[in-house]
Amino acid sequence: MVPALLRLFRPQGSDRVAVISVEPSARGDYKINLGRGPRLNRLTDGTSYGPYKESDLDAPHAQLVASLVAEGFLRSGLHALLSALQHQDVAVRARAALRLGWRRDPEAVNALLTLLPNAVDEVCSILDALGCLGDRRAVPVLREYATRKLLSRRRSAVEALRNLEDKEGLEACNKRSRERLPSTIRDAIDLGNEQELVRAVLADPAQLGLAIDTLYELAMPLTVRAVQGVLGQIRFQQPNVWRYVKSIFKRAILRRDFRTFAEVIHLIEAQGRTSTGTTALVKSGYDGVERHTSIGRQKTQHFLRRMAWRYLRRLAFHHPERYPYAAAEALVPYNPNDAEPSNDLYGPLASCYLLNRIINGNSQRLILDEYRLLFRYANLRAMKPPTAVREEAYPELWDAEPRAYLRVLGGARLPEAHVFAVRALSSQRMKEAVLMTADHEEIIAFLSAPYEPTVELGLEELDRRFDPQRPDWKLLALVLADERRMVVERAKRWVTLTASVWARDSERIMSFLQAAHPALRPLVIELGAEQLRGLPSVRQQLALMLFQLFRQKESMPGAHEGLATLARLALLGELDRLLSLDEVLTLIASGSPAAQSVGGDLLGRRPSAVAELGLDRLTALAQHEIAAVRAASHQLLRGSIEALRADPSPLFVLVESDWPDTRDLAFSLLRDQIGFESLGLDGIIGLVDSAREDVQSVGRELVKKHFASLPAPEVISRLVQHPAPSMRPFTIDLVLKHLPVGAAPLGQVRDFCRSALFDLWPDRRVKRRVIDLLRERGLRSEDEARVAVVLLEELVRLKGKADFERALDALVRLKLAWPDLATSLHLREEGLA
Amino acid sequence: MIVQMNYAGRSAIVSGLNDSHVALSTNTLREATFLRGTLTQPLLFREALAALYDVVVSDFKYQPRDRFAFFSWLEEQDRQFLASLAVRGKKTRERLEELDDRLQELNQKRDQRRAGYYRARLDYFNHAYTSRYELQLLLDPVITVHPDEVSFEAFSRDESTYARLAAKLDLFGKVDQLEYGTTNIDFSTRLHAELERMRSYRATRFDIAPGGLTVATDAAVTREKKIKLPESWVMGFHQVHSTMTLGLTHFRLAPVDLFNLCRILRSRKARKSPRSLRWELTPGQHVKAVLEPWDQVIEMTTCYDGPKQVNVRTWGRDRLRILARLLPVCQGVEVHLAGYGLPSIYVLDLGPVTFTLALSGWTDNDWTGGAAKFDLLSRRLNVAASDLTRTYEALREVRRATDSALSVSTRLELEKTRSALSYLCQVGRAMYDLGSKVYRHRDLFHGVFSAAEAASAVRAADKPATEQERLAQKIFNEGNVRIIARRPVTTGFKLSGSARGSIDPERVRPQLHIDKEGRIIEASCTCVMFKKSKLTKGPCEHILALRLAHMKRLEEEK
Repeated sequence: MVPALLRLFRPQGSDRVAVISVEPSARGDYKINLGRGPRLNRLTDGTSYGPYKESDLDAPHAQLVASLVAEGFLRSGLHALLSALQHQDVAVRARAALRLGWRRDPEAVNALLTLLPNAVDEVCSILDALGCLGDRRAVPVLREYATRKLLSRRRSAVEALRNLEDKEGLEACNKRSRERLPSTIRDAIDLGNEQELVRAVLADPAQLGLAIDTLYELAMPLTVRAVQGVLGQIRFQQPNVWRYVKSIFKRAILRRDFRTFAEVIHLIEAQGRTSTGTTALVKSGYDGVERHTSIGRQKTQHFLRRMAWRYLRRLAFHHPERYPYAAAEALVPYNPNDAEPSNDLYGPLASCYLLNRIINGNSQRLILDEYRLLFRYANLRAMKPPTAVREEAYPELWDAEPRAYLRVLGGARLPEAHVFAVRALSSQRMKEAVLMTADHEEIIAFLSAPYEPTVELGLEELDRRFDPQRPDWKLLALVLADERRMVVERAKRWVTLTASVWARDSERIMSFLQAAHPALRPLVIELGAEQLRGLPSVRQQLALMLFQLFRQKESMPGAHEGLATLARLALLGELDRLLSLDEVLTLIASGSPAAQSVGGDLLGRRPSAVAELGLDRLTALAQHEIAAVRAASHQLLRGSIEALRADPSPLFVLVESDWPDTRDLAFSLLRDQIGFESLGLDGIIGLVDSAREDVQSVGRELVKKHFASLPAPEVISRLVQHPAPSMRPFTIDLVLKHLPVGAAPLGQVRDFCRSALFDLWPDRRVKRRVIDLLRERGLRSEDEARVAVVLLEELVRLKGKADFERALDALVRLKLAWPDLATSLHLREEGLA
Repeated sequence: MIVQMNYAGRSAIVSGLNDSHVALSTNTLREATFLRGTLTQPLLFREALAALYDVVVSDFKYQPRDRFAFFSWLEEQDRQFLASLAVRGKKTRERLEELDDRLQELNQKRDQRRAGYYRARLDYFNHAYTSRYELQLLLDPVITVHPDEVSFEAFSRDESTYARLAAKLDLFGKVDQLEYGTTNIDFSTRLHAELERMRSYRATRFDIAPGGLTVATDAAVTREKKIKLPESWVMGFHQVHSTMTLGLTHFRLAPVDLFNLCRILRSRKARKSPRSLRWELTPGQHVKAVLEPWDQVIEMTTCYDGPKQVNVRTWGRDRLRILARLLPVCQGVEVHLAGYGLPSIYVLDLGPVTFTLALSGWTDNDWTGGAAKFDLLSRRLNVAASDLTRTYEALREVRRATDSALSVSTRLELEKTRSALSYLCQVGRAMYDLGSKVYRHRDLFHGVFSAAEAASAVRAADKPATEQERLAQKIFNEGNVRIIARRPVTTGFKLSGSARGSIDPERVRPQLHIDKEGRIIEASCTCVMFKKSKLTKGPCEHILALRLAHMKRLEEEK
């Protein structure tokens, strides 16, 4: 590898600046050039070494650098930082130490170690720097600081030891850390159960903060996962929690644990939207004095949020290869819950500081409100995203490490975070470089993305990799359960391509049917049924499995649905052979709705069941809530016509059923199959008596059909008792035509007439016909007139004009016909024409 | 309060080809109450029960229209308008309209395709609503079996209508088993539908028993209902009987009169207020009903035989339409009016069946809401807990009795007996039967009437129950009420007085027509409260103070 351009500096001497560069020569070799001068842009002296082959470059380059160092040259900036270590201001000293740590200049180790014994407030910075520098000379002093009680010192020292990979020192630290933990937590760690550990930590709110920090210090995968789990469940702005959350955040930075770093800063940001912190009396770890201290105030929150971005910037500068991965992790925790209602130029994600820094860091459209840490659009026009401008911060670093895009696309839950990554991976070159070389799991993660182009990208790649002969079953199960159109389309293709493979495995069929989304289930059933036709052994096996499954309760409502449909399409023969009639009836009685429908189909295949079940049971089954069961019982009832002719009473029950199909069956049997001999007067009137209009209609039809065979007076005397107004037109027709002559029969219909006349929602035609009836009958004989006149007299008192006149006319006619008739109506002689 | 009910079976009506079996399942948590017999007039009973059901499910409270669809349409119009604003090109606009039309067409097709689903969903919601309503909100009718009758009592859904159906035991041709008591019966929409199948040509067996119709099902069904009964409902039940014991103005109507009234109410809808029914009663003249706001006068066929002219306005007249089913079978109607804006009671004579419909002052004013304190109109003496228990026991023994008969059997003064009966009505242990003019024993809820309950009822009555009572006592104690004129009349006394309340320093002139037992027949006052509400919220403190002064004078005279 060709060494990069190196600038060196010394504070004294005529040549203060030296620049070493490596340039390719015309023959394909390299030359090392050294330029010297008083200032960077005034190099006055120069020497060229070489040519060297690329593989031989390192040694002469190192030799040249060493000679310059011997002359007092150091890497540019180092002199200033070393002198800043001696500055009187502690803040300057601390910052210089941290910068030295980031730069990883080995020359700084001695200076830092020298400074450490007299350091007070800059101790943590020096320890952090020593950890970053990675020089083992610092180990003894770090081990000593790791035993300190003060959290900040101990934290910096332990994390520095971790960076130095000092196993011995870390072991001692871990031992002490475990002792600080309550026994329940220690036991949970020994148990190795993450859930148990989380529960144990949450059980003691007073020790919660210390516990999570200590667990994070242990840095075991289990404890780190547990800490991440706990952090998601607690409020940070509490006295016994806040300082430890900050501590974990700092540890994550020092340890370069990007995932914890991202989760903590996201939670601080998210919780900060609803809380401005509190104040509490707490004892300082620094001087042991109890003070009213702000806990998790906005100022501190903003400090930490800025610090997070500062950290990413430092990474971009000093470790550019790590920046994309850290930034990708930082994008992952953001989710739709972070969106707030838009307000003018403040978009829904205005308060997502780190997110905006990362994905809009280069944008000219957004302006940061430094005080509130909110991003707003510069103007209305800026709200529309540009098409060809890359707005993310450090785009060149992302392009240098394109695998970081995979993490964004697989993990980010906000569509906004996907846009730049999808755009970057859309070119064929990047697809080949990144997508085609990505792990299968990484691509599968794309399917859960909230951004359609990401899903499309993932599906495209998965489709390219898909092998119908050796399919990824997990992937198939995943896409089968998906409801998005594009996934469904792809799933259809894959399921169809692999039908001949999965249909051979009965368990696979069952799992597919149970997992499949309702939109895909019909396809799976259709393919399965088609394939199963040629696979008798699988059918047999599947039937047995389904029978056992149907005897159990559904794990969730509708779980048996798909399986039952397949069974009804392809397995009825096998199930029929497998199940006895009792088992079929048990399935109908106690199975899930889907299982009941299978039971119904099976019952329909057994005409001989009529004898065993009897008409009563069949009648009950005909009113079952499952259509298939009803259909089966209908089939059986159709085959029991003789029995129904002998006793049609089940049909009278069925006509009152709540189910239209059952009523239709009963109607059709009553109309066409059961004769008048079986029904008789009682049967037909029983139908008319129903409260259901459709049954009444069939009853009326039968009355008309068999009226010649029915005793008219009896029919009329029964029909007039019907309370339904809809029956009155029919009844009055019969009354007018067939009511026997005489006062007694007329008296029998008196209540009917009253009901028709005193109806608040009357049928005018019926009413008129009733008056006509009374008039006609009254004119026929005086006895009948006496019956009629009572009703007519009441009727003339009605306030309705039309009825009044008609009734009065009838009354007058009766009075004229029968002058001796006792009425309240008096006719004046002179008024008579 | 939570009312718990437990039914060992289901109420049902099974109609065979030749016979019917009406089986009403009773609450097993209450005293065993039986009636087994055969109905002689099932049609009459059917109509009466149908009317009772109509009362139970009736809700005449104002229901704002569901305007969701309209607002959605408006919103869609706005959206289309705003969308069209941004479109400048003619072609684009045309294309947009074309697409909108297409969208509408597709939406229509989708709706057509889903029609079956929507129908099924609606059916399901209706089913769920009905079941939930029946299980949680509908208090099953209270049934009371007495030596002379079996009665069903129910309250409407809006708590503004009370109905009592009393069937004489003569209605039952043959009574096989009889056990007096009060209980609830399992009542459902389905049962109502089955009721319609009762006919006279089928022998109808009628059973009120805990088992209901368990034989119709494969296994014994135990149904539990827990109903969250509003306090207002319970109070309303009590207030009905307070009202019935008042001195009410009453007159008779022919069924055709009530029909005429209901027919007009059905055919005309008042768009503006007042939507009242004004009864104009002039002695010796036909009763007139005036329907406002049209001022349509309906002259009834009957005459008023009261002592003096009375005009009474009542509201919530649409509730009379509930009686539609009973009009063809009705033989006579007795109307009882409490006064301006006060409850009205219609007692329908159906022969062996009496149907009592009590309507609150107006629909939105239920029997307790709006501070309808009818108990204040009657006067109650202090009764000892032991006297209360004695009266209760005496009534329970005979099940029904007049106040004078009970006074004899308990050896209490008549007025004290009346007061005790009034307390018992207030706690739901007795009821007043307006049709027969007797008090009846009826435990509204499960539980034995204990001495503690008696003491608590009496203790509660010692204290002024309402603010008006308290203020009246204060006016009386401070001597701020005086009787200006006092004239004995045949019904009691007519009084005129002067009173000054503690809140309003102005003197006011209360006038009172009171019977000999201290029940207010008529009252008026010049105070603000009376001017505003008349007696619809109970009498004002001045009227009550004048009554106190009168009662004291009566005692002094004795």
